[in-house]
Amino acid sequence: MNCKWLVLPLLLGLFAVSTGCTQVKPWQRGYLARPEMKASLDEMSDAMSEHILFSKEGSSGGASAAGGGCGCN
Amino acid sequence: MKSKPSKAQNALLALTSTAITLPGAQVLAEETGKSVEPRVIGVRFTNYQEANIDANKRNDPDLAERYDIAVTQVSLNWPLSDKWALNIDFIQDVMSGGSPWYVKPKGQIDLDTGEVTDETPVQVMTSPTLEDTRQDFSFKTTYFHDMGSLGARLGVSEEDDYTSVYGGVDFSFDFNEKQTTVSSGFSFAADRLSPTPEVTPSNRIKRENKGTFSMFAGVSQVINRVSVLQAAMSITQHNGYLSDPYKQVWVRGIPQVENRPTNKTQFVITAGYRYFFPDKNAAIHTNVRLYEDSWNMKSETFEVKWVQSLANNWQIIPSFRYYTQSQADFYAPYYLDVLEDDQNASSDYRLSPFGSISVGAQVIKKIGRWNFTGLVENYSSDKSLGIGSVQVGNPGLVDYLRFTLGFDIEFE
Repeated sequence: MNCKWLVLPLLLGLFAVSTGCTQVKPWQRGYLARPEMKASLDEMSDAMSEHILFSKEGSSGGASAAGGGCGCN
Repeated sequence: MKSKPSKAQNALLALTSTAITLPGAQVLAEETGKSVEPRVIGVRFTNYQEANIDANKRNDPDLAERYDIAVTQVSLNWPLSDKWALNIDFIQDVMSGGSPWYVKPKGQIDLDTGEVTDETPVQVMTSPTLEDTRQDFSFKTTYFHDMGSLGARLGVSEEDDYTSVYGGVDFSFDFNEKQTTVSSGFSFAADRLSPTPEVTPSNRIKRENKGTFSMFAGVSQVINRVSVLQAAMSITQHNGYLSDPYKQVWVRGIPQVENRPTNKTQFVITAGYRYFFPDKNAAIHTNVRLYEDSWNMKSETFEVKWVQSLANNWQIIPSFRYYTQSQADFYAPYYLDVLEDDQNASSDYRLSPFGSISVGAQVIKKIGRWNFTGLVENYSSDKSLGIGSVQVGNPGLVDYLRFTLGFDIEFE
């Protein structure tokens, strides 16, 4: 572990502050509720992507979609 | 013939993905008094073929074939009431082909001096006749309340040589007029390995266990009317038999079973940003991920997707992903010196330094209650794609071409 682990949260905080984090009322969230803005448009395919990469690369984990399983070699 | 990822970590990922959702969408759904998700049955068929290893990177000219893998997914997302939802997932993998076994130098070794005539590493493959089928069944129940949700998942994955029971719990909590969602959770897995005798050396293990425990925490923040920022971090602990019972290392001319440490701790930080362009009917999704573990492996990932809506309910989603990792501290392509007792050693390409690029495109078409989707993705990896200089690349690095077809049907 080194300092780089602190850099990302700090940058995120600075970004959030700099962009204002303005109050967005529920009736102003039409764009945010658009399907294009879903975290995953196709959770099953995204889960399969994680599932495949899981067996090809040495690191894994994090906040993205995945299913259970292997599919390894 | 496989090495197994942690099922607990996969469960964690699934939990995290559902926990860190878009606050705005959830608010709208709740205000209509309906369940957060519609009733949906989804089916996906995926096939990907790993490219043969180049002739100059393999030991036997006749053994080049790698795995061809077909995956079927069925998912049932079924709200039981305004407050409760049930999700059931089934996955079946059917694999056939050959697998990297160990890496050796291309030249001959002089056992007196320990020198080899050609140090170029070449891959020794198994027979291309390996076959295996894995079936994974899991269910998750979620309770939605006014301020967020609480979910629990339990699953089992079964194949000839590997069984995993996994599960987890997650929750999310909305505040700041539902512009901020905080989520957290944990997951676990209890795995049992029983390697297939026909494809393992005589000194293989007969039965081993390993366990995994993960925790994560994340936050999703509405920035303004068109953008959302999210971040998460997780820590995962693995204990038990973490080696691959089918992999070997070449040690001074003699292949022997690899040996990895019996524990590993992983740290991950991710950040994502989504921005909607009203005049283009499109959104951009970007994600960054930093990883580090106690085997001294580090990795960085950058992903970007462009989600473009078109007329007549069409969507097209081009995507790009870049990944780079350093090697585990005990990794080497092969070992010229005799190993000490209990010395850790592995030549698995997944522990080697490399980088990868994947480029893909997905198309989605909605027709009434039906959603149809098709996806193609090309993945290539190489030592030259990694950040930092890699003197010796592992010859087993993989490329593949993936296709996915599927549909969802929504019910009232």
